[in-house]
Amino acid sequence: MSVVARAVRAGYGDGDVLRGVDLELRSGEVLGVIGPNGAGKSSLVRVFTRLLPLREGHVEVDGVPLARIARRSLARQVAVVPQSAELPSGFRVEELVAMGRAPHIGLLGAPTAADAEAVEAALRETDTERLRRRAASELSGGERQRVLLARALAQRPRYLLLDEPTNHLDLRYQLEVLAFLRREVARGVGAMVVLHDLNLAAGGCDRLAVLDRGRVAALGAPSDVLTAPLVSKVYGAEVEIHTLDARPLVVPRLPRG
Amino acid sequence: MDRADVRPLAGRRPAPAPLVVSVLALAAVMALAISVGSVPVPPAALMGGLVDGLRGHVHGTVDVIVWQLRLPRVVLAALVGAALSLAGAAFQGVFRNPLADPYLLGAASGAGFGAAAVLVFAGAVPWLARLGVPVAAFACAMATVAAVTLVARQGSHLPSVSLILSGVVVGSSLTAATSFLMLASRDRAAGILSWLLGSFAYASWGRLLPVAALLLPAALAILAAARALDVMQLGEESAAQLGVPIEAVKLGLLVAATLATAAAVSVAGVIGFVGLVVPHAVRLAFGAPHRRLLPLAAVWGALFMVLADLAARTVVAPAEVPVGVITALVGGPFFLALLRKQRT
Amino acid sequence: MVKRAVFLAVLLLALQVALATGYPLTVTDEVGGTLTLQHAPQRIVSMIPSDTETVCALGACDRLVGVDTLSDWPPGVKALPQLGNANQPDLEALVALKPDLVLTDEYSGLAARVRALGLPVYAGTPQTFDQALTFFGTLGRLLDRDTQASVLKGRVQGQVAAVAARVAALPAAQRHVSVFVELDPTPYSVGPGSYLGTLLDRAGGRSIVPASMGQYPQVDPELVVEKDPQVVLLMDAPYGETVAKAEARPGWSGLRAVEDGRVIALDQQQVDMLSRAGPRMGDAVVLLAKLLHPGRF
Repeated sequence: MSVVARAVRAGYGDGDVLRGVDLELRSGEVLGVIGPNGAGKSSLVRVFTRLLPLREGHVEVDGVPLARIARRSLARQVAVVPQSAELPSGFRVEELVAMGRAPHIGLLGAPTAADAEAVEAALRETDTERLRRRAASELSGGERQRVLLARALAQRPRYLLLDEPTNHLDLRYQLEVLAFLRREVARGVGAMVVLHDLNLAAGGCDRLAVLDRGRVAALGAPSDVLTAPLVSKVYGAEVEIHTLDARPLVVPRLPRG
Repeated sequence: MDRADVRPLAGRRPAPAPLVVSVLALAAVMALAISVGSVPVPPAALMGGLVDGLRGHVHGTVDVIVWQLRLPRVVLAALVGAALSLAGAAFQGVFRNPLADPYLLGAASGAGFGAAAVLVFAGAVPWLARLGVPVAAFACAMATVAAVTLVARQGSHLPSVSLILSGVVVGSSLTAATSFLMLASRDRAAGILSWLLGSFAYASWGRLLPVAALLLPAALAILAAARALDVMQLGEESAAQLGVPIEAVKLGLLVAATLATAAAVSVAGVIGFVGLVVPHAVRLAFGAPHRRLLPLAAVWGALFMVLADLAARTVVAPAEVPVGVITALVGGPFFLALLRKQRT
Repeated sequence: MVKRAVFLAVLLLALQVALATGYPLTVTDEVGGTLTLQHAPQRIVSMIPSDTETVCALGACDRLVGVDTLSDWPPGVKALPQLGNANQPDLEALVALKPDLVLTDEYSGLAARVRALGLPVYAGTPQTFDQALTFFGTLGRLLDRDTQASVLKGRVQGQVAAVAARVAALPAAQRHVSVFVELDPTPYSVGPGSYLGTLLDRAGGRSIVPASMGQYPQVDPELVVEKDPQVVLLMDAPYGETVAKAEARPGWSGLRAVEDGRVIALDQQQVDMLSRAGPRMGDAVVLLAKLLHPGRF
């Protein structure tokens, strides 16, 4: 069971952002996607949710070509935790989380007991039950991020796509997000997470894909991927790689003066 | 604290209390509006008139006043208020823009131009006179929004920003054309202006029924889109990732809201403010989820409009103030007060 | 002498019998609506000031039960219940008066609304001199006042003919005094084809506005200076315009009307009389003749 991309080319306007990406997201793994700004990380998330049309190549979800999956059906299989945590005002937390059930209920249907149960479970697993009556505008950044995780969870997806979920969050929340991912992956979900922090990626992901100018420059276990030459080349910055607890640790070489 | 009725999904009975109370309030206000007029009618005669009307035996002066003058007027005000408020809520939801109102895409300026054209040229062009102001206003409103939509369309997409911009531009042009018509035919200017400011003085069952027939399906369509509108508040990208067919919902809501707006404007003129302020007020008071917001916006839009019309025909009786003037004069301060109260 | 008077009285009576309206009477009004009267109307509502004047001029003033707010002539009608105007009628109060004939215009749409309420209505009010003469006859027939209508028509025509005869006797140069009629300071004026234009014509005057500009055009202020009118009639004087303000306008100091002191501010009564195609049309022509040819009328 996996989401597979083969030779994917896609982009905006005249230019291509993805120029032949081959990648597979397997059930039960956390796949980290790293790379410098503009490498095409967010575009990859948009391709997998059919927001960005393919110009060439092929994407399939559990063996079914993306183009043949209805939007609603896709939303029951793939959930996205977006980058910006801007939440609409006037909604309570539980109402926002319940929106994750939209693809299951449909636009005209009525929520069932199963929908209510999924929302309760999502609130429980993200530890947001006590926030349920709060308005979105009253939440801190970390709380907002957990609400977004809960909403994605309420979708009961087979695959979770997270676009820089730890942006602007302090250390505690970053670790919370990774712990959350590990729990979901243990239940068979496949999670693809776009990350900026290389050490967080090295520590939290089973495999890493390095995107560089629209191509996968390296793919594999963190210790295989995060080598000094590769990171230096892709990011254009001098780094040293150390090893700590059998995990690579990336240390930028700061200019001394 | 744990009120079961506000739980979003467990709620098969979604928050019945506010809606029931609001409907009762609307009924009370409508009863008040029917009992007030320039000719005093005692309550018993009032009831008699209503009963006679329901049985189809309209006899005598009081029956005519109650059944043919007051009731259609009050019902029409309620329908138009509900339609404008619902359409406003739909537009605000679709565009996620607090300044959106039913007239955002040019329905008002289109209708105004159509009405002005009939009022000015009816004498010279017989078929325009036969067409009549309501039909012309309705047709021009629909045509204007259709034109705006076509101009803004990019392939199969309807980008909100281009929709709003072309709505504003087309609207300004038509408003200018209407102003020119008013200046060019001075003797009709007062008639055009009073139509533009809105009035329910022309209410009759004959005018009311086609409007109701248009409003009902439009209102049902908007109410049915409640969940889609909720999800769309997350942004179009997130909504699409949650399986909402954005373009279809947008187009459907646009058609329904425009139908409701055009029907309302065609019989009542351009009554401003209701479609902008009532949905905001209801949102502040009862929350943003559309399953609750939309029905309440319709009821409170109706209530506000019936009251505004009651004021319009009583403050300087027997003359009338354009009801659009009342809605703006009363609605503005009321809304500002609500906004301030919310912040503190 | 007595014999002759008796003869005349008998003749008038015979005429009246011959001309008496037969009821039920069915007529078609100017918007194509049919009106059937079972008997001579006794409870009349007039929503047009000139119609009110005509009803009273036909001797049926006592049959009026309600009028529009602008009806003010003859002065007695001001005591009647006022029902707004044709565009903004107080329909409830109108219905409550139980009228058996409602007189209104053909433009406002009031006729259709009143007809929908099951009340008899005649829509159509004269816009021109000739239409007004015809309307006297129409209303006379509706109210069973045919003789009075003929008399009224004769009187108005007589007044106008008398003025015309005296205008014809004027030196050729004075038969067409050039006039600028100002309806408001924007300025709006009247063309020769308009109702007021025809009254001016009969009184030995002519609007400076070319016929090609239509009946009630907004004119370029330069046109007034260029045409250099001999007389200026300020119909907007009741609404705040004054002779002093008008004379101080750019370019006006050299106008013949200003130099001769013939910029004339009209009062409300005069403006009404000049605007209403009704029984006072003859008086209006006489008034204009006096204003245009001072000392000659």
